Amino acid sequence: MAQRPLVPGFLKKLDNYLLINKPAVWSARTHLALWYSLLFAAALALTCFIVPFDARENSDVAAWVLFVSVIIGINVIGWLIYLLRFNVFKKFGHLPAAYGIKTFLLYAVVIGSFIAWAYIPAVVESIRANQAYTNEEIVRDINTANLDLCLLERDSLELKWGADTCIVRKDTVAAPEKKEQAEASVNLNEVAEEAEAAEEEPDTAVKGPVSTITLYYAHSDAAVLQKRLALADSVIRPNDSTYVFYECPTYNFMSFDADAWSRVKLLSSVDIYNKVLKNYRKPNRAAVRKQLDSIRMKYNREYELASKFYYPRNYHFNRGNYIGHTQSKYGMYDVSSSMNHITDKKYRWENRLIRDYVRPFYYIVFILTLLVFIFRHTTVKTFFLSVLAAIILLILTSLVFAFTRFRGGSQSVYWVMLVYFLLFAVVAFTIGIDRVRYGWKGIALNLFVFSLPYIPLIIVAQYYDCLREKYYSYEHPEKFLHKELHTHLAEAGGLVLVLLLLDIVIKPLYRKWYALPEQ
Amino acid sequence: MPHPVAAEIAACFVHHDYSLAVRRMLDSCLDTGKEPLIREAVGWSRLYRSHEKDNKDSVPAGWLEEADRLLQQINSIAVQPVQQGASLVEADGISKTYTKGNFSLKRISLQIHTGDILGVVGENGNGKTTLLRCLAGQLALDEGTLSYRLLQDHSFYAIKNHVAFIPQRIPRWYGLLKDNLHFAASISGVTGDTNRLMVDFMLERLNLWDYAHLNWNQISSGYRTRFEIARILLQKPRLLILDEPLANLDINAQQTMLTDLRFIARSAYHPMGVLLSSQQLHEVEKVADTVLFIKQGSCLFRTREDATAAEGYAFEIETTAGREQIAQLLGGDGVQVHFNGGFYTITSAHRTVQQMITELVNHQVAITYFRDITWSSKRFF
Repeated sequence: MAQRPLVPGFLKKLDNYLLINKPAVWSARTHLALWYSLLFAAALALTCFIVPFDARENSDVAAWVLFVSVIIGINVIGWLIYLLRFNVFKKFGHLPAAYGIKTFLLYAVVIGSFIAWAYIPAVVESIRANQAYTNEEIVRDINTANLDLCLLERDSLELKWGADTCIVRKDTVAAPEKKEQAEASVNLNEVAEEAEAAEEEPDTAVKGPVSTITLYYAHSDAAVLQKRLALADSVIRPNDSTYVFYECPTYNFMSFDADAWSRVKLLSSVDIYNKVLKNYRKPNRAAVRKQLDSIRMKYNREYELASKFYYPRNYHFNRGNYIGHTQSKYGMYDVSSSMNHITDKKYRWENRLIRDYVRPFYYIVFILTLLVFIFRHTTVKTFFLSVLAAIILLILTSLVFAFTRFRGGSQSVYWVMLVYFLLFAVVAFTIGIDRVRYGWKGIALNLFVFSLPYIPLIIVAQYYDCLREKYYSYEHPEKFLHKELHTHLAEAGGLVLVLLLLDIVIKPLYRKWYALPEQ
Repeated sequence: MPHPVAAEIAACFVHHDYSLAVRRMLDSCLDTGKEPLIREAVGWSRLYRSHEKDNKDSVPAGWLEEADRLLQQINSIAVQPVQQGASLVEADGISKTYTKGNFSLKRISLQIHTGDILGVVGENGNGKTTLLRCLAGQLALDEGTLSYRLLQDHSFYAIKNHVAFIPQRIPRWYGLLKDNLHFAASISGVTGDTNRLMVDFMLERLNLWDYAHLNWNQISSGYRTRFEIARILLQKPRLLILDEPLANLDINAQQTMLTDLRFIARSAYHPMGVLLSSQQLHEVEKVADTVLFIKQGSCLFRTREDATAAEGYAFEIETTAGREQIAQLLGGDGVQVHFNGGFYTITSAHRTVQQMITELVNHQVAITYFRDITWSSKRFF
């Protein structure tokens, strides 16, 4: 057994066991790759914990991700070269049952472990930010600061609540079924102008109700109205169809979504108004100021900012209004910015998990795994020729689009992709009747396998594009209701499709092509 | 019924041919297919090999007694008769022309049976490798048919699984040599303890034990060839095709390899057909059942079939006597003398080998080398 550094005894035993019992698993070197990946991840995490850190600072994650991405790239290439050493398939050995799926998943696990490195700096940053500031601590500080600022600056604050009157015209216009009908019956430009004019018109609702908002379609009236009712700080309903919405001025000088994971909730402007402004009592300004200063000092990073901030230290965009003025006067902009950075680090995983983290991870791992699988089942020359062919095809297609002043939109792009896929598939399937190995058919086979997982996604995108041509999504939201679900299903379906066809279609085609005699 | 090789091994002990005895004992134990016996034989062989390094002319104490015990065990086990004669590959009028270049391999028909060794000889660039690669399924044929009769699955993947081709330039191995051998065995379905045993056996059989923990860069080209053969044998192919396997071997290793190929081809454990190309005509002819001589892509001569049709006699001699003297001594009576700078090639319509030697000895010609090439493909070089 080869002497490898930092490999423990149990792993050597496992390596030896796999070598003589499971050559297909052994040759993927998953066990060793995972072990070294784990070691590197631990070293990376340790480094991230050791480097100087201030949660109030801008995040350094982007730089870390760039650095780690380079390492991942080098590592994947190194692993690929290492994989050239042993290959059951290319040695015409006995292929175990479900060989295709097994090896594909093994490659995915290894690549997944490599790609996961890119998330480590962000995870460590979140852990360190959470250690430095608890969820409740930040919320409490924000609430205290907002209340203190209101107490100190009561005279310069806007105290008058804004009013907005809404007359709901129910069932005045029936909702057209088709987009074409709607366009035929309504002058959309007029509607737009009307809405714009209404927005600019001063509200006189307090003196006498005047229509300011026209909700056009009956079916959307209720939804818009419900939304406004839910969001309004206060509402008066003079009659059945008239609502006067009152809006409290903003008293959140540091407004964050910082309370999503806190037991203590952020005070809304209404809460702040009710607590300190509604029945205002003159405060002990020195004590309040002292309390505010302690918060400012806690989040102050003036020293660090001095060298980094692009604008002058006393520069603020909104000095004209009371928010900007107050922030500037008490140096709360820096506090606000620091808190922003802290909450960014603490809560970066919330809400955006799938969109920003899971999806890129899934696609990068999936694409790289497919490439590794193809690399392991085709000749090295054919693999790189396939990459070249794909690039040339892309350039040529783009040129054709450009020179023909292509105006087909995304639908035509999807059609072209589908046609290419069918072409690759047809060529790849003719390998079944060949008696000689043709390089160009190998290229077609590689491209067929590579483009296979995107087909469900293209079909879904094509479907919704067709739907968009017929219907407006705001008119017929029910037709677009499951778009996101369908997209997710198509994304997962691509993987399922590949896994299903790996041993039934893809492996036999590669097996046939690779073993054929050369010309 | 005693094992057919037991007597041969016993004779080797009598004449102190221990190295050959060890190899034949290992083969015989393998033929029985009994793993405990094979394991014992490997241990017994290890004992001899480690002793041999320091003591060339003696054997370890108790070693011969152990050999007797092994022989008794071998004799007590009924060995399956060798499946010889089953047709492995039939090539019918196969030909190949490269699209780039002028070379063509012209129509050739041949048949290889289990246990057969077929030698392919010829000058460089005359189509030996092309023929071998066609038979290995590596090159597409222009004409003719190739059938692998013993294979149930006739897909090319299955063919390449059962037909092993060792090229002249062996592709580099990566990692430890022993790991490569384990891998080769396991991808052929030899797993677990059997895998360990067979790798140990092969290392011992081909005397590679001391090199097993090295890597490719640490061994000579001759050992690379031997390791490649060990690797291929662990995969248990039905047909073994070797392109110039003797090229990198010293003279002793060449002899050992050729005799080993003979034994391996006719092994009861896993008989196989062997097809090899070489420039070492005489060595190949000694061991091969049939030898094909290929010139400019055509098969000019094949021993067994064409040898009976040889016209006259042909000899090669190397002597200190001058050309004129040789011509004077042997001249006339249809004798022709050719000198290639190294040795003389003498062809005669009537004089047999005995007559020729007698005549040379009678005339006190100092002969350093003599070979009868009447039935050899060497005549065509």
